[in-house]
Amino acid sequence: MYNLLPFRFERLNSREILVNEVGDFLIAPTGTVQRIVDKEIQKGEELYKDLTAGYIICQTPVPELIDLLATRLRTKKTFLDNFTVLHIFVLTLRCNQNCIYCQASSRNCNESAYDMTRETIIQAIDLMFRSPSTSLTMEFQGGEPSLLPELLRFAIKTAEQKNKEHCKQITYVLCTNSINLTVEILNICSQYKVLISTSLDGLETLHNHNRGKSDSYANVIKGINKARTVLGVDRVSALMTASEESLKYPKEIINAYLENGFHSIFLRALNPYGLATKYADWSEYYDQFIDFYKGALDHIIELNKSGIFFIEEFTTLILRKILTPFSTGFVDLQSPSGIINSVIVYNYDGYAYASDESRMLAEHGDYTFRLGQVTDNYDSIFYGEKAQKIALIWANETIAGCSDCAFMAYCGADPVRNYSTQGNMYGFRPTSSFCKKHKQIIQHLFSLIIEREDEVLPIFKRWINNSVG
Amino acid sequence: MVSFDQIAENRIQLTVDITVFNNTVTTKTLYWLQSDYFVFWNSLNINIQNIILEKKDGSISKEEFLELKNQINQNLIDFKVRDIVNQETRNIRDILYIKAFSHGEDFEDYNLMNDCDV
Repeated sequence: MYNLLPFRFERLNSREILVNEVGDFLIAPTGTVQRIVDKEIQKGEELYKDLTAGYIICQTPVPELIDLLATRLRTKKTFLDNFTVLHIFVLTLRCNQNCIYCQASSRNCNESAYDMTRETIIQAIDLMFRSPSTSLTMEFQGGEPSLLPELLRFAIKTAEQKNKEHCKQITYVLCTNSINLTVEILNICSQYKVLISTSLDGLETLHNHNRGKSDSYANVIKGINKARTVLGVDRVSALMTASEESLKYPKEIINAYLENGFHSIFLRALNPYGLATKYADWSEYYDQFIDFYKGALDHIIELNKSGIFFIEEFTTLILRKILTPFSTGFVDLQSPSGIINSVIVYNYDGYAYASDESRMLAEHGDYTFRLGQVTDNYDSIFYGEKAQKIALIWANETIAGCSDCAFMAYCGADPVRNYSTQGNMYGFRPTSSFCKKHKQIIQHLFSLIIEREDEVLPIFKRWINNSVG
Repeated sequence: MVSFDQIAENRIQLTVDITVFNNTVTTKTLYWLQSDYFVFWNSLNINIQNIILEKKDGSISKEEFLELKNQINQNLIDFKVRDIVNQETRNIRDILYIKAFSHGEDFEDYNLMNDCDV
């Protein structure tokens, strides 16, 4: 007789996927789970060894290697050790584009009332250095932060100055549409090794349509090439946002990325914030997005099979969780949630928010996730009443619909998304688009692993080994 | 599940024996139906629970009835299996999380074998 260890399961493609507490999985024939709980698995069976090795059953009430299992669990949650690593500075809401899905409530280029003050920058940097993490990411967002080169330089110089006391490793990221990558901006990026994260929606017509401009694509490509020349090809990354129109062109978007010299893409769905909330039927949008994702992924797999190395970054983040013992730094899929634990936003208005989406809610008059002013003390922002209230429901190990899900170890909790789409932070999984999207993507990846293992697994492993995570 | 019947064009009545499928198992099964159905639930007697599902929008077709019957039946069985795993592994999960996140500060390595002798 054996003992059970904590595990969850899901039926898929006439198989059962068993996932233990640390995310290791085992694919078994239908009926296996029932046999396991009925204690019918015999010691002589190969399955017995697999289940034992996979920490799903155990000969003793407590596994002899429980310390190892605990270490594995801790490794899966290492993002918690560092606490807030990603510090987003919204330097301004001013922007030079007019994106149809803008989530950031951007303003006209001349509206300086929406710029962050230098005092706010200094105070926010002080808060950033209170983070226990030895490495920090200081990310500049907007609006379009490249419109304010002096403020960008001031922020980085202030951080560099302050870091002389703290000696942390700081990574700077400029999130830009690449339209305004002037000599001055590129000098700053070169001097301080700033990474460029840009948006490129793929095809020229599509990109221009999404930006509400006729020349946006040409300008972005020009900017990207300029940045690559000055900073190096590997210092510029791009992601696309799938508008409704984009969903018609999965292959074409991938091909456009290849033609522009990219070897990876991040397929990002719209989030229901800002102008994007105008979409009438989110359920239909996410159904279409899943089809788009599957089509694009299939095309990317075919490219890799033909010898062209190309990564889908979102898939790789999930695969890293499924196929390795490690966690990722991706704040949108963490449990406990990435908000506060991994990311904080210092907004142009002098307030700290729990996430990028939280400040977007604030632009619409909802301050639920405003944690305090940058002049407040560190503890009241990061451990205050609001943070504690959110913390009650930010782990999918404890919330209905998630705690029994086989894919819990690969997914995350998002109280901000729950609040904005369902009216409360706890959320309701049967109608959650977050749940639906991630569950279907993870199921699709397992389907590929089950049905096309020999074909896809070597490709997936190459992606994991060659992606930052 | 003891019975499963369509009692109106938009209503299904099912009865569940809680000695077979306890309240936790039944609740978790019904949770996933609440996007499409209102749930009305009362006890017929000490063991039998009476549940009425009312479709929020439109009527229930014959195909939908059969699909729902299969789905509820399968989910009751699956959540019962999950419940068995949860009950049997609760202590070991607690120990695992304590060991993983206690930082070795406040955690006394008490006699795990006795505490977990399930």
